[in-house]
Amino acid sequence: MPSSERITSVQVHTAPMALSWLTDSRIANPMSRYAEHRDRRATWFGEMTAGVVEIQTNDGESGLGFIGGGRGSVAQEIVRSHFASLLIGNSPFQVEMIWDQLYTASTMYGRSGIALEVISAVDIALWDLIGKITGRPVYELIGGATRDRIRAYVTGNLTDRHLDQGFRDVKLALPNGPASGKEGLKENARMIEQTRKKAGPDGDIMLDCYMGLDLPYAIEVAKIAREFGVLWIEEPFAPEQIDLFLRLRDAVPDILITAGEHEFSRWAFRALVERRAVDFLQPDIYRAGGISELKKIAAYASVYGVPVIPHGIGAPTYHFVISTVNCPRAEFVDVFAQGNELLLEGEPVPKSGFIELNNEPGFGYRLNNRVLRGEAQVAPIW
Amino acid sequence: MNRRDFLATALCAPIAAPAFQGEKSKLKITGIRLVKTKDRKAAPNYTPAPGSWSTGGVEVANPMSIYPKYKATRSLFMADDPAMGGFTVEISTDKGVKGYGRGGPAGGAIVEKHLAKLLMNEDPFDIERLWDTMWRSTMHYGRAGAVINAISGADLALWDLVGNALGQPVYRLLGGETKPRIPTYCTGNDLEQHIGYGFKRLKLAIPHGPADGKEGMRKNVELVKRTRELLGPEGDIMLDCWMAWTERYTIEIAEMFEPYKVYWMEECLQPHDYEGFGRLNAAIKSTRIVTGEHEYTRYGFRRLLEVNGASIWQPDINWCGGLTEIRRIGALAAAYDIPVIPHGGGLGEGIHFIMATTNAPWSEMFMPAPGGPKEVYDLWEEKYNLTKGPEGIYMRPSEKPGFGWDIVVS
Repeated sequence: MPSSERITSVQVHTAPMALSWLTDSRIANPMSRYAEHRDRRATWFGEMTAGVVEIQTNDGESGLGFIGGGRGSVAQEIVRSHFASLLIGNSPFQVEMIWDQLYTASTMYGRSGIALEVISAVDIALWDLIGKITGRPVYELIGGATRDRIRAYVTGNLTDRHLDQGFRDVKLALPNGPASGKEGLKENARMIEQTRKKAGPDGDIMLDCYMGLDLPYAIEVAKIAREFGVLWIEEPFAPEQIDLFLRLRDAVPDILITAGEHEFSRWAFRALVERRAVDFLQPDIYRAGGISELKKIAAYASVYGVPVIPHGIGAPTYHFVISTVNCPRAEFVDVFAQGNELLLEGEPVPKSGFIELNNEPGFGYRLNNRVLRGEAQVAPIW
Repeated sequence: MNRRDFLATALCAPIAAPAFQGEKSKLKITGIRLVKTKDRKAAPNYTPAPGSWSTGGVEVANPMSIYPKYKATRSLFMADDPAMGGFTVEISTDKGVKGYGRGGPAGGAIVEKHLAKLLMNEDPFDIERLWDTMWRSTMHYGRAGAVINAISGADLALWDLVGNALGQPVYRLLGGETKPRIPTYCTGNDLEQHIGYGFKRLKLAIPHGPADGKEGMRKNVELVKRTRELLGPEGDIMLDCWMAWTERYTIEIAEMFEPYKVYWMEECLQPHDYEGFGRLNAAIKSTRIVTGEHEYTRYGFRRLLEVNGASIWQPDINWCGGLTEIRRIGALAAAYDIPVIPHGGGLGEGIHFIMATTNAPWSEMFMPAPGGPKEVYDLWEEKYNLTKGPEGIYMRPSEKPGFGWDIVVS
């Protein structure tokens, strides 16, 4: 092989995540059916660890990739005991072969979940490296800018704060699921109604249901949402429940139904598209397979006229969005509401509801040493 | 890499790269023009050996074979004016970095008279948006054929330009090396020459179709039988049927070919007959039904996918929409685990796609006609980095920036 750069080391940096509204407020979720886990997801999350894969070359360059899923310490073991040996010695430009080898070599315990989360992080770290070696921001290497800036919507229930920050569009984390009964449903409805009053007629409101509903409840929620002009209902069911998505779409046809945050790889998204289960796809770049796989998923979706609005935040997400024609918007999760920091420093943050990217090589971020030294806490995001 | 390649890389890279590399500023497209090119190390002209297939005047079964007036050679019905043939476009920028791309028949005029306007003053790195603007702006007279041949050339010139600007061979920007070298098959009917050189995978241009009746059928079978005898039991035989056959003819002749183990039968039907391809692919088990040379964009391949029309897809990078689009076609194929073996894939830009794509296993190559001086074949070997090994002949893309064109432009 003619090029000289070689991967010489792979390591995972971790830091325990703090608590925030994402872990400690009432958000409908698959565990909500158990009363002791209804009010805080932190009761069943266990130990959540932020993780970043760092890949270094013989030239002294290094690339960084955040690990989705909040299981950095598990990822660390997978990298140490398995993936590192498959990476070392290859050129960082060999992202296609490396992706394929990691996926294939982990088939017996992977194909989704943590293995794909680690593969995603490796892929992102490799693209960061390629950007640094070529001296260009990654988005220029994966299609260039399709627009000057990206419209971002904000996720979180602090609507006053978000409207003050200049966001037009807000996504609410639905507090109550079926286990909270009629009273919970009324509370959900009041929240949507108040948000519509605050956002006005032109702001978009979306509802994130985090796999927390059943079909009858989802139909009720969709009808209420329709009344207040909600744009989409997100992930009412686990992504493999394709029939439930179809039945919800039949029951309440005039509202968008979406999913994808917890789905992995082109093959899984293929099933969602083939059966027309959702109106658009929401792959998370830190889970579904990184830059390389999201580009494939977006190309696949574009064949069927299906848009992609990825779940999640951070430079890799936004570099992907700005370089992809069928990605109309991006998400920003309000991780900073309680003042914590991220394990990567220099991540793009929206201003007045728009994200602009700089021209720093790679993804333009670096490890946050304050966090690694224990001087700052990591905001939970996974 | 041999010494000559090393020198070429070492000499070439600094010319193209530092003009831009390291600068944070944007590039701006300032010129788009059609150019004539020839290889810098051009092979001498020669008269092919008498009786060789590569003389150009031989009959190849095709959709016009049913008309006696046009049956003898394809040149009888193809346009005489070279302006209706393929083209090369040069895109230049304010910082002097340039790129070259080749597009398909009748595309040149569309680049000059329409697409140039959409590309001028834009940043050549913004390929995804520029492809989309070319696609949308031509929707009322495009979507397949000449317009997509035009977009292909422009898109490839942009990729060459980006590679040149970064000092990187294009394949490294697409995912890098997925295999140390690429197994290559040879197309053409000069069997002894191709086998003698070391190819173990051969694709024949089928001479006869339904227009030649039972006798033509027997001659086709005779050709395949002779190829199997010459090649031995291990090598692979592929057949290019260039849109000439019918569904019934294909089924009947597939049975006759069965003893000779044909690896694939290519483009047996006309490309609009998606359902026909689907039926053939379901009915014929003795070989693979493959196609795609005359299919355009991911939307065309979607139709092929929906009828399960081919076991292997063969988009042509210079015709199907360029590198940007063949990658999307490759992604669609990858979601269904379908291999992509591009038409003409060894000849230029396609080899970069193949190198960087895990579901693109082989490339297609053509050998200069027999009867030339040794220099002809040495230059050919050097140009395509050909090597020998267990699967026959292999190749690699150039390590020079961009697509590694080694050309003189006029």
